[in-house]
Amino acid sequence: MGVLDSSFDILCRNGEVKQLVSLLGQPEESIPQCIFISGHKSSGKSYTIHKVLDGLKVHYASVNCVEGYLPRLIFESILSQIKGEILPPTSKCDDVMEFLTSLKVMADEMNLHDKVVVIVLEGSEKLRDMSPNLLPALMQLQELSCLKKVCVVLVSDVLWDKYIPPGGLPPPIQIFFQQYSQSDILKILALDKPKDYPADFYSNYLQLFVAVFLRSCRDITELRYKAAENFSKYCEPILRGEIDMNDSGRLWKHISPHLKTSLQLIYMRFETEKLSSDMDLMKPMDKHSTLSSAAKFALSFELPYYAKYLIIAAFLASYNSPKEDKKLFVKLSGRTKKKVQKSTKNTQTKISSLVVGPRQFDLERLLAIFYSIIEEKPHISVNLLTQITSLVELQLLLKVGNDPLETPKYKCAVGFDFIVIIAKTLSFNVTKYLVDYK
Amino acid sequence: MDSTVSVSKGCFAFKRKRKGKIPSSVHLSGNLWYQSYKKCMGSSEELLEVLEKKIFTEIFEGLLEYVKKCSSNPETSHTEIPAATLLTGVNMPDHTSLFATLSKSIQQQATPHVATLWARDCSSLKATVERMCSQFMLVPTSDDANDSQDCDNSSNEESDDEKQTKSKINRWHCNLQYLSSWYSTIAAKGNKKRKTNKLSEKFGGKAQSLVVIIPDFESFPAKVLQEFILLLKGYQYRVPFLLVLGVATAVSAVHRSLPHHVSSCLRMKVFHSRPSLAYLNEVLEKVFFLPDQPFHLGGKAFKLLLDVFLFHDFSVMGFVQGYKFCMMQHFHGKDWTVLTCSPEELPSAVKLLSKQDIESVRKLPSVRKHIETLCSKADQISWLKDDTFVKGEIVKLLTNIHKYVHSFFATLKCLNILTCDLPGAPLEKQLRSVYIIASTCDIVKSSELKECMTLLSFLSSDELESKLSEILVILHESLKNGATQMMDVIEKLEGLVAKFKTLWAPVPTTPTKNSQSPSRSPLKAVRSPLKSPSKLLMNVNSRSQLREKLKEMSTHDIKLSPFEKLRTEVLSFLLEEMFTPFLASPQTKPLHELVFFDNIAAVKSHIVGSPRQAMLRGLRDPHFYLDCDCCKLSDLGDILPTLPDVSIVYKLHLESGKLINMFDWLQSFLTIVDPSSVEEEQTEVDPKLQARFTRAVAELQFLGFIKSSNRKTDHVTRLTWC
Ligand SMILES: Nc1ncnc2c1ncn2[C@@H]1O[C@H](COP(=O)(O)OP(=O)(O)O)[C@@H](O)[C@H]1O
Ligand SMILES: [Mg+2]
Repeated sequence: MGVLDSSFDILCRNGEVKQLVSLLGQPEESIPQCIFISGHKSSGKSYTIHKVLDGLKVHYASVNCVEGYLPRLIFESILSQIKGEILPPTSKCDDVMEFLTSLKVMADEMNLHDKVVVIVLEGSEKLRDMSPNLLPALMQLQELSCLKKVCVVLVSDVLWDKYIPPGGLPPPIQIFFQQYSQSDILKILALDKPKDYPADFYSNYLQLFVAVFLRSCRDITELRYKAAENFSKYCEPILRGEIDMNDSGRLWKHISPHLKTSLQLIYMRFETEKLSSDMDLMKPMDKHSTLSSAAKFALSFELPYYAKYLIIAAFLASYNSPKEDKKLFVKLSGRTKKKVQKSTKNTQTKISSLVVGPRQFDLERLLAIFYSIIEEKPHISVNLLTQITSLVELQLLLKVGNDPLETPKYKCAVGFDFIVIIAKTLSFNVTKYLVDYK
Repeated sequence: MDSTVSVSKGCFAFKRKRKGKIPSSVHLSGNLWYQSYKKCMGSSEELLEVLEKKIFTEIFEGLLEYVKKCSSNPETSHTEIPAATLLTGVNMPDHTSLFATLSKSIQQQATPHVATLWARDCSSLKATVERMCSQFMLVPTSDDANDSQDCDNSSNEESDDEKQTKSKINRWHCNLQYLSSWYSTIAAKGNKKRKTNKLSEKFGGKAQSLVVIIPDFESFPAKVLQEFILLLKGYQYRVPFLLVLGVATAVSAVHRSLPHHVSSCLRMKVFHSRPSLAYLNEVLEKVFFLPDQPFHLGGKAFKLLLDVFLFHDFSVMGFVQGYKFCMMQHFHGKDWTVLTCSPEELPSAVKLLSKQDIESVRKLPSVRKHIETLCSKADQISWLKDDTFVKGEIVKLLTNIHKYVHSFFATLKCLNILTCDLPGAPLEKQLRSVYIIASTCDIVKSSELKECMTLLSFLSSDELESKLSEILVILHESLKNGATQMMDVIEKLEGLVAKFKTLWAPVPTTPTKNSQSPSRSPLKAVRSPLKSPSKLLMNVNSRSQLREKLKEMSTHDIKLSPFEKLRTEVLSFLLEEMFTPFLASPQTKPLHELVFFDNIAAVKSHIVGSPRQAMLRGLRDPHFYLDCDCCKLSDLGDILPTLPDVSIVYKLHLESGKLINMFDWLQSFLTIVDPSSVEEEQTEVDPKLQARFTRAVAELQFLGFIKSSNRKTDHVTRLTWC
């Protein structure tokens, strides 16, 4: 074994690296057909495999399977990476058969028969949704192509047990990437240390940082982003000469509120320069605000007047059964009495439809409810109808089915909290029209 | 009905006969009215363009800076895709032009590589990628995705570089692999004959970001978007992408459609665009409420457009289109509208009027009223008989109207300043709403204004003084613009304002009980805790309560301080010498039809289209659309055999109840279409007629008037009741 593990320079993945090297690093011995690598997102799978393959200096190709919306793109990408240049436009590779042929031709040309060739397929769970023979074929590429040293590495976030398609497949060699521990994370984050700061200063900072963040997030990518973002804040008072570099107590006091707000915005990926001036970003920060996120969403933009009534009508249509419509919307004829009876019965027998989720309704019903809850009666104009389309575009309404001839059917995509806010701006009492609202 | 040459039956559009194939502008330019229309439209379009440019640059400023920054050093963004998130507001119709302008400005100022992906074109990942790549690689031409679709793979595949640059890129190549190799050649060589490179030289010849604009983020299928971003992320280290996301609602919409592992591919920066209501206000102020425009929207027409805006779509573009349509309607086909011009052009315009035009002017309702109110019989006769006299009068009246318009708008603004922040805003907050009131009814006599005046009589001196000085600024400005009648008012008002200064100089020696200290505010001396009506009325909940309180307050103090006297003086001056003379509604002015367009009956159906009504009208009265002699109805209830079948069937179905018996329906149809057959008591129905009937019923079902019923055989359910 010619290559030392340490030369790969990969932190905290010694076991996995050793395993990979023993499988792929010995060209004289036989090479496995297929290796399956799984593990959480951002647990360094891609990072490790690429580093190892680079270090082993084998021919390899790496493709992300999102590109497989056309299988041909995967094949062409593999071929051109092995060849090291872009393929001439004349070469076509539409299915597995053509791929195998081209691969063989290429192996002959480049004399690859006894060199290790590795094909890394990232996000390989996508392969299952493509043509049914693709995945089995790739897993047995060695046999099918008669290239004895070719190996396919499937990388996925999904475990093999969950990954395996219904028909079943012979299990490949599996390597599982454990989640990093706290000390692993500290070591990896320390790699990003900016040049102009001493190592222990930075590791002090990381201790503070990880203490706040680790409970909510172990995603290395996100942690790296957040660490870099907050480090500049951490250093600000030092640059301004207000706090001494070694005064870690005061530095902690300074940074801890920033870290907390930053934790609220995790995964949101806003650039934070003008955070304070930005109302929309301020909202998630005040922890004590009792509003739900849906309510905040409703507050953050203004809808035209009729659009508001339309969305309320859609909500009522979604959460009341059509049977109740007459009782609710035909003007108050002995309604109140019946409603009381009904609702007392409901609490015992049925689950509230607010819990069950929206039911679909058609355009006519939407308009009928709209006209019964709105005081002015605007006539059905193009402008009114396009509002419905606009609401669908904004994802506040969902269109169900897409038969162009049937009357369209919709579902309301916003919840009670949202509607309550909208209704408040109109001083409209929604609960009056909700059967299941006690 | 006219006959067609087509063998198949169906719906045919009959175009009205055209006289020739002259382009419409040439065709129209001979007309008198067209000239003045063009001038008028031209001047407002110019104003709009200037304004639009200004507003767009404001919105885009920060965004463009950001794009430039990312684009000039793409190396910094290897780990994440920079994503500028532009919050656009829910005025959907305006977005197209917004993003077209954005794309153009990015191309001019930051990077030549821009692709715009509308959700409607991107139902799948494949379509999205193809659309993006084809836009990038064919930089010079735009909108060629359709072309690239018909040239399919492999046919003319010679990868001759020259040829490729000229002709369309093959769809085969619209993928990211090819794009990245294309990008590396672009980045490497700076001396090809492509337009892009000419541009990139301008930007320093460096590699530029590829900007992908997604204008309607919410309507993008979430799954496509996620995969698309993951895909771009995979190529980010070779090709520096930059996303511009147009989000109509709020930033959280981004996180609703992107899960963590996707959103962590991005680095977002949020930019806000101006709320469209603010934009509209600016448009109104800078384009519509300008007194020197010869054309204005009257109160009713203005309200119509404003209602569409506020209630339906928040679309400034829609508002502007409506305005333009009104303008077209105003001028179209009426030569006497040459009179809608600036006052300087009036004398020459009036010379162009023909005898007929004068006659039309005479027939205008406002002119008729004017003639009736004239006291001298001789004048009345000359109005009716003497054309040259009429011409002279027209010039006089219109010059007056123009003067009136100047003072009207100035006074309206002053009134708005006075009343906009009164508690409860009895006279509306916005100038636009005040305009609607003032131009539809007599605002001076309205109860709202009276209420305002009462409230104003509780203003503190500071508030009143600052309002008056604001008013003076407006008046001076209007004077500069030619509202000469304002001279007088300004002088008097300045005199009154000066009195405020003298008010404080000597300590008022009024023997009020609580004025022990030489207070700077005499108001405080009399009614110390009360400074402004807003404070005073803080805990007033209802109108009636308010009125009572006001009454109480007005009877309370009999003794008036000098300030209070002055205040009363100022307010009555404003009411009597400004509002009363200058705020008369435009409708009271003779010839107002020439300056204020208020004919909403003519434009309503165009601005607020209503498909159902149009359909009903077509069924009830086919003549309206077909314009043929055979369908003329004296009474809309009539059913002629010559009507289109579907119309006959529709009219028959109106007579039935909830369920319609098909056989009866057919019989009545036959009675109308072919009376002879029914009389003869034939049992066999002519299959041709039966086919026509079936088809008409099917059409009615398609239109949504009936549906088949399971309850009774041979019956259909009727769905509409009108
Ligand atoms: N052991 C490690 N040493 C250094 N960096 C690492 C390590 N593990 C993960 N990373 C970093 O974390 C990020 C995510 O890793 P990646 O390999 O993309 O995760 P995965 O493919 O499992 O989703 C990469 O940017 C990588 O640089
Ligand atoms: Mg990965």
